[in-house]
Amino acid sequence: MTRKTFGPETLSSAIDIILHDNPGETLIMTTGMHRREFFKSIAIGGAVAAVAGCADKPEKLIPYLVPPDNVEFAPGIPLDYATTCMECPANCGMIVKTREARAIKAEGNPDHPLSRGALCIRGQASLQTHYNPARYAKARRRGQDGWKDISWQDAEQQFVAMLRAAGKGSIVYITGNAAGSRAGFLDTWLGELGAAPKVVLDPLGSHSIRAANKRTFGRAEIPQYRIEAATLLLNFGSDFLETWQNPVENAKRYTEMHAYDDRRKDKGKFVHVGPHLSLTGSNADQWVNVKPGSEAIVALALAKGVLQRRQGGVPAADRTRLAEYLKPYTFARAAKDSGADAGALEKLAQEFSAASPGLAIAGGTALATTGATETQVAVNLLNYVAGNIGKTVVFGGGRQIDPSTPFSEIKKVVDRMMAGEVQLLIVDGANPLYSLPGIMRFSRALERVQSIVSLSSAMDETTERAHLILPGQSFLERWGDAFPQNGVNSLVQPVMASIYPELKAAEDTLLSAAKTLGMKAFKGIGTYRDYLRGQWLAIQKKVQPEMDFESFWRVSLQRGGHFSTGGASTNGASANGASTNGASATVSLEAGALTGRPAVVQMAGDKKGMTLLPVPSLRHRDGRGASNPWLQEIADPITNVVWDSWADINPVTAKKMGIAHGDQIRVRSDMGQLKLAVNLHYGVNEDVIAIPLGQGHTSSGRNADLVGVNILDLLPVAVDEPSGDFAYLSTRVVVEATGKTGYLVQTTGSPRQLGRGIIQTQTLEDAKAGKPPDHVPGEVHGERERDMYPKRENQAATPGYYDPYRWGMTVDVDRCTGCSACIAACYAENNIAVVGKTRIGLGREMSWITVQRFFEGEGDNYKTLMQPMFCQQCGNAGCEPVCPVYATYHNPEGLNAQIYNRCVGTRYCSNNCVYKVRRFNWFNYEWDAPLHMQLNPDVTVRTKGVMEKCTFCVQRIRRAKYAANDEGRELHDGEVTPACVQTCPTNALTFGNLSDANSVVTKNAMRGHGGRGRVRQYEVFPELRQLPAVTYLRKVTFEPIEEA
Amino acid sequence: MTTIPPSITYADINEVVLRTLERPRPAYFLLLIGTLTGLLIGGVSWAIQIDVGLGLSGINHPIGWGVYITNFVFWIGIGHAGTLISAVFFLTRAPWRAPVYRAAEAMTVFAVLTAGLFPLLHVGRVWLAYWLIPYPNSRMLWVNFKSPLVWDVFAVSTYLTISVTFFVVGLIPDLASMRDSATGLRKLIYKSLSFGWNFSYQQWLHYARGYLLLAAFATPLVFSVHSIVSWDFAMSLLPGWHTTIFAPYFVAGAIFSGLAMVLTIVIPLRVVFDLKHIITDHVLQSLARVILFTSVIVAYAYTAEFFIAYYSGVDFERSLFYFRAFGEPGSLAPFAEKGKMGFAQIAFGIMVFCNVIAPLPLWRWKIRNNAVALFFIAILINIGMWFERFNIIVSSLMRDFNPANWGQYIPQPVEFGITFGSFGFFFTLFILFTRAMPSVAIAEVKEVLPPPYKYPENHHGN
Repeated sequence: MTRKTFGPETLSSAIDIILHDNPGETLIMTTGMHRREFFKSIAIGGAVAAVAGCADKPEKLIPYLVPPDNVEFAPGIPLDYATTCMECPANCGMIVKTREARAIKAEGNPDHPLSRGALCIRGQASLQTHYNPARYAKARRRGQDGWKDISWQDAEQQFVAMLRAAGKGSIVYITGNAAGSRAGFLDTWLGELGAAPKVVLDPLGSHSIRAANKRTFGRAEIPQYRIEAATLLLNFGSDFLETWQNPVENAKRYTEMHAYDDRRKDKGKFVHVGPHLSLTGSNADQWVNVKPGSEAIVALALAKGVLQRRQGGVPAADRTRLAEYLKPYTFARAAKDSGADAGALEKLAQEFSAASPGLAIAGGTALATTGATETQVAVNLLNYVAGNIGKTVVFGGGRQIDPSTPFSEIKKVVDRMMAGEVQLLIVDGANPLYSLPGIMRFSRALERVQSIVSLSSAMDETTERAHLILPGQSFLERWGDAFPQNGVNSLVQPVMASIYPELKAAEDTLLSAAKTLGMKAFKGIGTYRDYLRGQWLAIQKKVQPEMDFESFWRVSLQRGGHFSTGGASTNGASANGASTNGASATVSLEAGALTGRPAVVQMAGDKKGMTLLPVPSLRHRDGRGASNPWLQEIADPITNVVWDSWADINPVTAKKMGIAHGDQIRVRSDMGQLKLAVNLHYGVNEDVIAIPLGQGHTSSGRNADLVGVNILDLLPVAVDEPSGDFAYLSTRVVVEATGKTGYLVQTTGSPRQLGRGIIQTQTLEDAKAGKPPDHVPGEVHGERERDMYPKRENQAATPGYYDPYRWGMTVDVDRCTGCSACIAACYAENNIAVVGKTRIGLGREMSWITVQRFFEGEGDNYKTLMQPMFCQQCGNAGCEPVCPVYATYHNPEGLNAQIYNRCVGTRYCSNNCVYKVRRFNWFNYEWDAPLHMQLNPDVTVRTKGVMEKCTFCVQRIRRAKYAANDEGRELHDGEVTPACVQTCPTNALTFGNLSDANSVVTKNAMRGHGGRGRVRQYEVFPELRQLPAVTYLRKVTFEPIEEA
Repeated sequence: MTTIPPSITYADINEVVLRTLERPRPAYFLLLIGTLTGLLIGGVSWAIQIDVGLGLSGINHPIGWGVYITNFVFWIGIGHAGTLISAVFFLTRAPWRAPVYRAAEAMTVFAVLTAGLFPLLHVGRVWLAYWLIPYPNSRMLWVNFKSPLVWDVFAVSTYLTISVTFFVVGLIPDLASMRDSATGLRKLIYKSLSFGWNFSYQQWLHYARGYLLLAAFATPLVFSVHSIVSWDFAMSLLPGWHTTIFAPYFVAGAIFSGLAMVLTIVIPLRVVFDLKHIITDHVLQSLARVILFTSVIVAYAYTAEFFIAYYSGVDFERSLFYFRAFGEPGSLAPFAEKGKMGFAQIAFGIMVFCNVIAPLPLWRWKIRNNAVALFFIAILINIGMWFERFNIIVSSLMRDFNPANWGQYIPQPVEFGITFGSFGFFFTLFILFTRAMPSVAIAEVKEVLPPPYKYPENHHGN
């Protein structure tokens, strides 16, 4: 079925036809309006109100009964809207599928040049932010006896009164979102009040990159990192597959560089330099374990090495200056300062100078110290001497990936609040009470503000302290835009009516106040949509002056924005597919670049302790995803911890301290102390304790509160002076065992695969030579074909089977980064229940797809292997013959179908499943309202006592087949995409028809070749002869990985 | 050889056995209240479990079967002794069976009834459990005859039918005796249940033939039922389950546990009802010998399993059996402590101690003839055999093919409650039985006595 992307404008144009062309006929019944037309107008009126969220709002969210027949809308037919994800500042393109006017599924927008059809785990889970049970339904006012719901009019009047009461310059506006036109809108609004510009709060700011680029190249901007163009990626600490900049875009570019290409027969190398391996570092081919704060020295030593080895590329004048400057940074010094091996660094310098081109990036924990700018400058120099500037580091792209206010400015604001200079504080989607280090005493600062108004849509710590709450709307209910990069103009549009119709988007609340206050700048602008159209008029003038605005607007809404570069297809995107437009500025080395004298960054706190390394979380980022049940429930891919914070400690250190895996420890800094459980992790420096950010909320709703600890409570206020970035890696802490066992819940049963060949690897040489590994665990030689029963592939012997379809999948383990977006997609698509920490601890998680993780080896040379595991749809399944009632059976298309209605619940199928991918409903699970509105009507919600499992999104297969059947044809390859495959940012998953010899999946699996020609292909547990329909492709490594 | 002192006469037997059916003492009611309380606890636990969901138990992913299926196999195993004694030992003409076979048969019937509860108890949607029975329906839905669970349905229901038939047929002459001395309502009941038995020669002739035939029918069932139950496991793919030794291993184990349960029941019975001169030490010691014999078979099976796991060279098998006995392997260090023991290893230890070591004293004649010692050993064997099933079911599920899926299992209160309730159910039925029916077969005991000669002293000791 082809995707139809409607903007709500399409619907309103339908109304235009009815309302404006024949107003008398439709509006007044007495003029002889037909009954059907009456319903039609009601329905479309509802549609517009529901979709566009305009002035006349429906009382309740009621699905339409009678569809308008001149738009392609009918109950049961999903309607897709293109919009932009606002979960983090990356602003990926998003398509939201709605059913009966409810958003039920978010997918990537293939037209969007950066995210190219994929979404990350947080984007997939954004639906639960929208349906967050902790959202406010009504305006609220804090009175003498606690909170009281008040009418919206009252709330707006009180808000205006507060604005009037506050003196000029005594208003502070803190927001978490300043994407696109919103930044200018807020500043204009605040300017009218004579207030200072808005404060954009994001603890993970990237100002050090801008500051360093200003100093090195004279350009205060974030460049484009063309990872795909590099052959060697040297990553200093950034978590580019998790939260850094645009993780989806990064993952796509990274895969193009790093994944083994069967045609090109080569792959790029990824080296991670840093003290800790989170998901990103765990994907690295090589880990250079350095002490925190020593990255700049390492980068400079490498730069020196590269400069010596590489001829040309650098202007002669620069060469002399650089050689002089880099003189003291020898490998020996770098080795001494960082704890890394000098020989390894030298070899790395050799490789980096030979790379054509290479790319060094810095971010995350490398730019989290007080020496962040120095470190980025050092990395810039490394890129410069290696000749990467202009090739893989490209300036002039107009990246707006980080609109945040520097932390140093925020500190000043807090000081002003402390001094009582702030009379009115407006918070809007920001949570400073949580996100600022506890030692800043923001709580006390709040006490000194006369009035606090919150425009946030859901409960959080700061909003809890407000005097007046005018809850805003989620980004699926409001208008907005984002310009993450030149040429990428992305629109946010409401995809459904507000869940709480009384509420207004924050922007509309501000506009309403502007009207009352008579602000000149907003004269004639009724809603934020009008304002946005004004802004986009300017865009249209610039990018498509020949088009009339209405058409431009409508097309932009349909596509999700206006993108100057054509959308790259999600499959097989080449280096050219990635957006590069506008990025072409040439830069040269500035004089200031060589002024710094970086040394190892000194950490505050007790010298005897360990360095505390807060790690941005894949799932919660800086804490904004913590109230999202899916994100809590889906395990961290590296530690497999759910619903908790944990402390990564190196096993060597732990042994010295007498701490075992799972023990409880007390972490104490000068600022405070916390208790949490230990996770032993080889991927952490022996001197470091790494703890994820984003947990430990106290009033952010039931799903976030009291889960884990807030590591910001231990941090001192430290700033990278040149950029003003918050240095969250700045202190040492004392770690002591409490003598108790912690309550750490991990979804994995074993950290090692014990040589069982579940995740297999192959060396690059072997892959190039087309040689399968010598020994494959469980491989069956000869005698494979001996069988009492006819094969189902033999369609003459078993008519009806696998003709014309046998659904299958391939999983390229080399492409899988473990990002877990597929899991979130599966939760959303298949109505999978969230069960919580205790039940997961008992082995009752419901996830149909898991990212399995095994460690191989020990010490710094250990390797992490990850791969998704889900129902393998076996051709000779263990589950099918043991079910006494045929609740599970082999359907003619090769799926192990599960008939929930027929299931009695003996669980025999699960016991006999080799892969253990079936899930049992131990209870009747509930969805806290309004989370239940997200449920996919195409998929049964299972009741207690029933077994459930993955069926390759059989509902999608059915829908596509019906549509094809209507057109009297068979399905094309690629027409059906299960949810997990759709969202995979690295295209690790391929789905299709194995009975079709020409389908992509068949080619990937190389079936029908009698096993010949299979190089990287393997099935898990072949000796058990389950004949799975899922073929895995081995991970390709530079060094052979010894299985433990 | 008779086992009963020749001083006992037919009249003695009638008197002694029928005395057990007189108005009970208060202690009897206390006991009955005790077992009914157990039954109540089980019933309430089950009701709560149906209401809340199976999540109340400790069963999880990947341990899909736990205490309930353990109980099922345990009770089915208990149910083996009755038919073995009444059919197999009847055919092999073991005269010592006569005094205990009635109690053993009753035990069998009640144990199978108890066992039959557990497949219902453990399914997710018990209200739909009848779907496991093939019955004509308008939706044309049928059961899956490939599934060992369906085989179970047939095996257990067949076994129950035959056991009940055997039990009822054996009761007929005794019920007739009771009819003759009873009055009122009891007479009416006994009269209808004795099917017009009048002790005629003709009836005895047919009765003996019929009984022999039934015994011949029942004998294969002794072996088939537990074989099929064992195939619930052996037919699956799981390491620790997927093995050909299971059928004989389970049958031997069933006889072992069943006879131990007979001892557990009969020893108190003969004290309470003062039947020592009928259920003699010789009977007990004969039972003990069979127990000793099956204990050796079971011990062999345990060893063979480990040997085959090692000898096969299959990693899945080897690591499972290592785990079963010794806990976590060293290869998981430092994430898991080597040799860390859990519930599964404790279960394994209990199993080996109770089933292999505890029966060893039975090699001594003195111990075999000591009812108190026998009673304790029998109790230990009962415990051991419960843990054997627990061990097989649970530890295999804990460590399957994919290490990422490995799990832990800790039984929860509701499982203990239901297990307790199953004992309550069983003993309630048994206690009611002892007052309603003769728990020693009057007619058959008489058969093994020397006929009443005029000068009995001439026929001392054969």
